[in-house]
Formats: sequence, structure tokens, C-alpha cells
Amino acid sequence: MQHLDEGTIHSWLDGALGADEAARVEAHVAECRQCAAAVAEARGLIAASSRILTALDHLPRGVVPEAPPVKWHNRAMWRAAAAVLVVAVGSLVVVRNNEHKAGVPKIQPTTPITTSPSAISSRATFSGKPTADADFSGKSTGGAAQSNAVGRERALRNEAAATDGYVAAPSQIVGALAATPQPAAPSRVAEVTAMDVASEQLPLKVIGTPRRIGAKVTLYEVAPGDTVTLTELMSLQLEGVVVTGISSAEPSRLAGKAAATAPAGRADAAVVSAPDYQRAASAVGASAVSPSAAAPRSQVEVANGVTTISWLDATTHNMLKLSGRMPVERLQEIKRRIERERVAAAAKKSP
Amino acid sequence: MTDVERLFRTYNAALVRYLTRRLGDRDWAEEVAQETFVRALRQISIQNERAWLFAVATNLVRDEARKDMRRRKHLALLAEEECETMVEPEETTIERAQEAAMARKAVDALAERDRLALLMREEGLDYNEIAEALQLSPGSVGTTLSRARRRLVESYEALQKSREESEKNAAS
Repeated sequence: MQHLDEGTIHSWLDGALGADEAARVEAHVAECRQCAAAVAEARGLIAASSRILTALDHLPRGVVPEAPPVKWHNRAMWRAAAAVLVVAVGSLVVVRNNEHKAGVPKIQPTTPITTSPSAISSRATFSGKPTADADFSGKSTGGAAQSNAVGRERALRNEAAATDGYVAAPSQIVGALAATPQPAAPSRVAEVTAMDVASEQLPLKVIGTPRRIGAKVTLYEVAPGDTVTLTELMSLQLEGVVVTGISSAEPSRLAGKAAATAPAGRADAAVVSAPDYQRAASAVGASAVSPSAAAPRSQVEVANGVTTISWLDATTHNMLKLSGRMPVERLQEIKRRIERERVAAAAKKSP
Repeated sequence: MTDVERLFRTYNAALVRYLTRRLGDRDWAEEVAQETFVRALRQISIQNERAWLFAVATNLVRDEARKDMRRRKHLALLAEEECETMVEPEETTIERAQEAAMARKAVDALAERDRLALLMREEGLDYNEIAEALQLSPGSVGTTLSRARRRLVESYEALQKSREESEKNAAS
């Protein structure tokens, strides 16, 4: 019998051979030294490989993570968040740059619902100025003037409700038309706070104030990961544009309505406020702008998914721009919140 | 006791060990073993249960390996990271971990068919079962196993030798 091959030896040792063949192999191994040595070696290999394979069962802790790779998720999420942030900030910068390059952006007038309060209240602030209203303020301290003011309030409330449904607007106007010597701001705070009790929200979170020449920029976080940018332009000419537009349309309309529905004393209130308003407008250098331009009181611009609304701040007379990646309605709501907070802040500064 | 329950009780331990040795990942091995028994549920009749289970598990690993190549690469990277930060208090554990790592390397160095045949044999499958599971002729299983054992032991010893040498160099 020729020598056993390795496969047969392993088969024999593994008990895989039939009885006859196993007997033949056994007989040969008993006689053949070389094959006996091969069998001994095969036994060693079987034992050794068994031992090696058993070593595989000693999985050291930490080498193979038991849980799904959490790190990976975190990293990916951070990466995604960073990418979103970069794109958002980048597009805001692009939008702003475009605004500068284009000079006059493509502008659409917004609905009057949200635009009128800022416009009217800006007028209120003007007429509340002691220098322009000295004579009128004197009148309003009398009892008759007070009752006239109440009449006007009612008339204007009807007017406002009929035209734009904005309930708080007349109250703000009253603050101006009654022309009590107090600053307009605190009364506005009270009115505005009362107006939106239902939709009262947490204070806006300021997350940054990037520096920019000629403007004050504030970054608000309105929701986690959702930010808007408020830009307060310090340019005088921009103020003028909007002021002129209001003075040509808004006061005359209100004055006419007031004269028709209220007692005589109040007509001159409107009359007084209108020239005063125009004076203020020309004082800020808007005289060059044609009054017939009828600029929208609040402007909306949408570019690259970023909505920007622009309006004139009542107290500072600065042009404000609010930008964010959200619908106009949401932005308008945030605008109201910002205005409220600005007014509140102004009231704190000058009690 | 249903048939699958019996199958599970009889073969789960061996199947999981086989798969763990094959994959180097106990969780993954258990997942594949479970999937194997789920497949057995759908089977009307299985002739050779053990051969069938090991064959299905082997194929599942093969399929999943293709799909999860990226995942495994990532896990390997993570494992390396973990290794770097891992602090083992006991020296014996380090010793064991090194043995396991060498065993892993030696097993990975085998040809797929040799490796599977050897792992199946270790779990007690006879030559006919191995032949059925791996679609080999029964006569070639002895040759396959003898080759697998020799190569495994040789490569393990080579790794051991080089480790001892590097330790000597480090000491001197």
C-alpha cells in the first residue's frame, strides 16, 4: 500500500472514513513510520487549529463596538448642520451684497395689515415731539381736549377696523393724537403687549451682532436653528424715502376721515400733525424725493429663498431690514415681536 | 415545542460560535443566526438540518458582506480607534487579545472555502454536512480540511514568531 495522503489521514482522524477504509489506514499506519509521523503531525495540526479557533472567542472588549456606531451619526449630523449653516449664512451675505449692488431692490408692497401700525405709529411719534406740538399739547391737557381725544379714538378705531382690521393701530394713534406730554413709547408698550396676548411668545434670542459700517446688525434665533437678521440702516436718505410716502397718503386720509366723524376740535389735531410730519421729513433730508412717489410703507423682497422686509422704525426713524429663510407672514410676526422688544428697550432707557 | 424552537435550541449555540469566529463580531453573528432561523421557519422540510442551517448562515454572511462592506470598513476603523484608547488592566487580557488578533489574522488569511469548512468542522459538522453546506464533493472535504488546518497553524506560528522577534528587539 502506498503512503497515505494528508486528506485521508485527516478524514481518518475525523472519523469520516467507512469501516473498511478506516481499518486499512489503521493497519498501514501501524507498519509505516513515515505515515505514523504524518498522522502524529495531523493530530497536532487538528489540536492546534482547534486551539487557534478557540482563541477567536476571546473577543477583547472595545475592539468591536456592541452598539451601532453612534459616533458616526453624530459626526454626520454635525457635518450636515455645519453645511446648512454655511449655506444659510453664505446666501444671506450674497443677498445683502446683491442689494447693495443693485441699489434699488425689486420691491413689492405688503398687505396693509402689518404695515400700517409701523407707519401710523411713526407718525404718532412725530406728532408727540414737544417742539412741534407745543400748542397742541397745551390743548390736550384740558378736559374738553381729552374727551375729544376719546371721540377721535373711537372714530379712528372704526376707521382702522374698516380698512385693515388691525386693532392695535388706533390705540397707537390715540397715544399721538391725545398728545399727552409723556413720551409715546411707554403707552405703545402697553397697547402692543395687550394686543397679542394670545400669541405671546418668549423673548427673541439674540445670538450675534455682526459688525457692519453704517448699520446695526442683530442676529435673532427665532427657533432652534432658525435665525433672522435685523439690519438697522443709519442712512438718513433711506428714512426720507419712506417718510415722504406716508405723509403723502396716510395722514391726509386719516385727517379727512377724522374731520367727517369727530367734533370740530380734532380736525386741527390732524392738521397740526401733517405739516409737522412733513417738516420732520424734510429735516431728515427727504425734500429732494418727490412726494408723489408713494413709496410702500413696508417692503418685501424675496431672493434665493430669503425674505427681507424693510420698514421705518417709529422711534429711531431708521430703516430696518429683517431677513430670514421663512414666509413673509412669519417674518412679519417676528417683525412685530422685534418692534415690541425695541419699544420696551427704549422705554427702559428713557423712563 | 415547534420545529424551529427545537432547531434553535439544538443548533443556535454552535451556529453563533461558528458565525462569531467567522465574522469576529458577536452581535453580527447573533443577527445572522436569528435570520437563519427565521428562514428555517419558511422552509417546509429540511433534509439535513445542521448542513442546511450552516449553509444558509454562510450565504447570509456572504450576501451581507457584500452589502455591508462600507459598514464593516467603518467598524474596523472604529475598532482601531477604540484599540488606541483602550486601557486593559490585566496583562493576561492583553495576552489574550493579542492571541485573538493573531488568530483572526491567521483565519482571515485562509481561502474562504477552507475557512468555512474548518469552522464548520469545529462545530461538529461531519464531512457529508460540510460537503452539502459548501457544495463540495464529500471526498474533497478531507483534503480541504487538512489544507486549512496546516495553513492556519503555519500562518499563526509565523505571526507568533514575528511578534516574539519584535518583542526581543524592543527589549534589547
